[in-house]
Amino acid sequence: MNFVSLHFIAFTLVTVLAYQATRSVTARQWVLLIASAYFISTYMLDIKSALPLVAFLGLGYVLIVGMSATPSRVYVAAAVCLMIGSFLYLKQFFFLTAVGLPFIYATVGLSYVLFRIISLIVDLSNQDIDGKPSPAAYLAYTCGFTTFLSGPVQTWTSFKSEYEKPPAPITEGEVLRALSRIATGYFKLAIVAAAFDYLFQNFSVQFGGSAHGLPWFKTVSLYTVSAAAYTGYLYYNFSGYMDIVIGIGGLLQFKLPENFNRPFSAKSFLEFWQRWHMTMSQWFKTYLFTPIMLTTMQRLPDPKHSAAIGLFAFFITFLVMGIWHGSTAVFVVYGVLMAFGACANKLWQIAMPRALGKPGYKSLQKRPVYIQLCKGLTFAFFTLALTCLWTPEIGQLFGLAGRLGLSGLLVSLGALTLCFAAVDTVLAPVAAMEFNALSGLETRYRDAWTVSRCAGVILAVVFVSAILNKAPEFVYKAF
Amino acid sequence: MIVVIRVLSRVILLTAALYAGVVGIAAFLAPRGSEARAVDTRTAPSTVYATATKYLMFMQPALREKGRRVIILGASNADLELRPDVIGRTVRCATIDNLSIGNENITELYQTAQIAVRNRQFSGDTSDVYVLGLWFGLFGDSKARWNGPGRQNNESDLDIEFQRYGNYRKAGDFYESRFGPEYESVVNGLVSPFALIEKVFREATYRARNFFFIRPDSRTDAEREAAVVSEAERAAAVAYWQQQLGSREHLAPAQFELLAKTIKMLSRGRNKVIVVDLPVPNWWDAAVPMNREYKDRLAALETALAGDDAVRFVGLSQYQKPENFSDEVHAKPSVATMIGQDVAKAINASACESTQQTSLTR
Repeated sequence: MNFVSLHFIAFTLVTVLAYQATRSVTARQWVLLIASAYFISTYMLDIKSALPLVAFLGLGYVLIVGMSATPSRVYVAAAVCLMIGSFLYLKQFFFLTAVGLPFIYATVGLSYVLFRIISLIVDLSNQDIDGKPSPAAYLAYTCGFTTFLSGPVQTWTSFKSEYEKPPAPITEGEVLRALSRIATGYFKLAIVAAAFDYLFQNFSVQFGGSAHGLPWFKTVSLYTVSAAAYTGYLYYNFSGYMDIVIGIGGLLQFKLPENFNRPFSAKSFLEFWQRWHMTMSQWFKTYLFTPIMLTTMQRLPDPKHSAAIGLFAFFITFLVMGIWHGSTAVFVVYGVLMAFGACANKLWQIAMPRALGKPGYKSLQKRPVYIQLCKGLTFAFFTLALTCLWTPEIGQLFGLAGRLGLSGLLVSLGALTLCFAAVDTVLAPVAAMEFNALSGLETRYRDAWTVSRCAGVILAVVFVSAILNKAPEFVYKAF
Repeated sequence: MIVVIRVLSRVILLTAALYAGVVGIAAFLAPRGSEARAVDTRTAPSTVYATATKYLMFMQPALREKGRRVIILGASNADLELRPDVIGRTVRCATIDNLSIGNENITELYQTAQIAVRNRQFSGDTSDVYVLGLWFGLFGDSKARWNGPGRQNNESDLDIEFQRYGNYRKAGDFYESRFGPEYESVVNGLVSPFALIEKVFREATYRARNFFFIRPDSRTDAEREAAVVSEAERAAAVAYWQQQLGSREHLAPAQFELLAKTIKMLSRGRNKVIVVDLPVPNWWDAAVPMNREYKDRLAALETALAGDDAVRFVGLSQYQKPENFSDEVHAKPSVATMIGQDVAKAINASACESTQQTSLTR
């Protein structure tokens, strides 16, 4: 089901009206379950293609129900490994292509289902959550239609409080806020992201494929602009999707966690990952980074090892996070690049205070030029690493890298850093301005403004989709 | 629930009101097919429809006018060399329509022919002349010609246009108005804001797109007249057309079968078809084997249709010298005029003189 389709809009409308038509918690829970089942069914070719997902969910629930009140570490480790193994097998990771199932099946949403099941297993074993979920609550948590495709990755505790809360009548303000959020999401997804995609397609076609005779500098320039356009496309596509699902959650009076917090204002690569796909980053921090740190520190308690342990934990976490994005060998490269970025950032944070002294480093961190360059470098590095997401074959990626050469990649990195720093220097103060007169007007005519904005976005989305002749796809559902 | 419905109703009503406003503006700005006397796709960029395919879709009613028509079909070289104003100086017995679309193949030419035939049916028993401007570049397989994002089934530009707004549906080989011909103009009027908005976008981004993405041939007529095609340009053209045709050796046989089908469809009743073998520079003979294959297959088709009085083949091999062309396929302006005049004489002989009709009567 495409998010920019009449089908999805009609589905959402029916679900919201059915949900709001009742004041019974149970009835609302059933509405969510039925809607989610229908939503997921639209991604299935037939019943057979849904069986692997059903089996995956069933295995997860059996492992959860099978846990004793105080499960052994062996059981927990085995359960997590079993889930990850099943996931790798079903997603057909590149090293498992020879042993796939003999029919076509859907893997959409599987990554996020895995996150939720692992978190349930681990949280139950740590007794961080009270009691095992009922089958219905388990399905609603793992397969809720608002979060099924690509999150946000909600914790069980947060989900449960929303899922079981007593219904209250929805107010006009809540509806308008939710619609406003949905309109923002569609504007980002169907217009801004589509425009970036248009730029990306038109630039990348000029240096890819058969265009091998281009001069080196032109290839580097076109690659740089294409890569920047892809980053814009990915960000607005993904954050637009998040706005839509959070807005739909608002219409269902079901609060979902935020997933983006102005990621390109980050002054370091590590900070960037606290602002980009925040719920996934938090999940990896909780269920991978922290356990690695704790386990390793228990074995090497000497404080002189702490920096190395931190680097090791960052490397493993970012490597796994990168590889998780896809099942081909390209994503191993992506994981290595992510890990390199995180470790380089951490090493810098360790080395600079030693070199400059703590006051000197603090003083440097306050300098506007340093801040802008850090922001620019973060954007540039992430942008170059994202090349792995748009060159699906490893040969293609290495071929491109060979054409650019180390010097080309460095020129690209430098150009992106400086351009981003320059643009951000100009735009950041404008974005931070408060137009008091306008905000006063907006408060006074808030309702009319929201309704007008929604109508304008509907028309703009319809027009842009017709002109570009394609409804924008949600790109992150492939990961 | 009532609150949700109330707010959504306000949004929907305002959306409808805004859309109605844009429909009004589009209706004011757009040329009306029912009021135009002739169709000329070359004028598309200066209209709100911007592209030849969109222009054709919206201007179909202009083809329904009673009276004799000469309808030109082909690609960009037909558009350039078979100009209605040049042909019209000689051919006085009919209105000249130009339905050529740049960079098309025979599949799209067949679709254009369908548009012409379907719309001409509205004016009863016709005695029109269809002029097909051909060259070997038209005979590439649709799988090679029409691929890429959004073309899973090798949809042509015309397919894309007729599928774009939902106002047409597939019927047989082509499309028909979803709500029937009586409501076609109304429905097309309702979707016309899309064309208007697209035009605004195109105009607003014209310079940027030309600078970054598109390399249009913006040469003046004087520059085209003085142009000399270099060896490097020839090599680039050969590589380009090999890619467009999907082969370095052969043309697609199915495209020739479709051409025969098109000629048969167009020559029904009292209609006539003139197949014009448009000239290309003779260096093509040595560059690729496809030009020879095209000539052979066209000759075979001519032989097969030798007994059919409604079909005539016109060759223009006297113009094949490389110095007559401003690039690999388009004749220089002065030569294009001569080609147009030669074809006009052939049209006159086949249509106007043979029917004793020497002027246009309506």
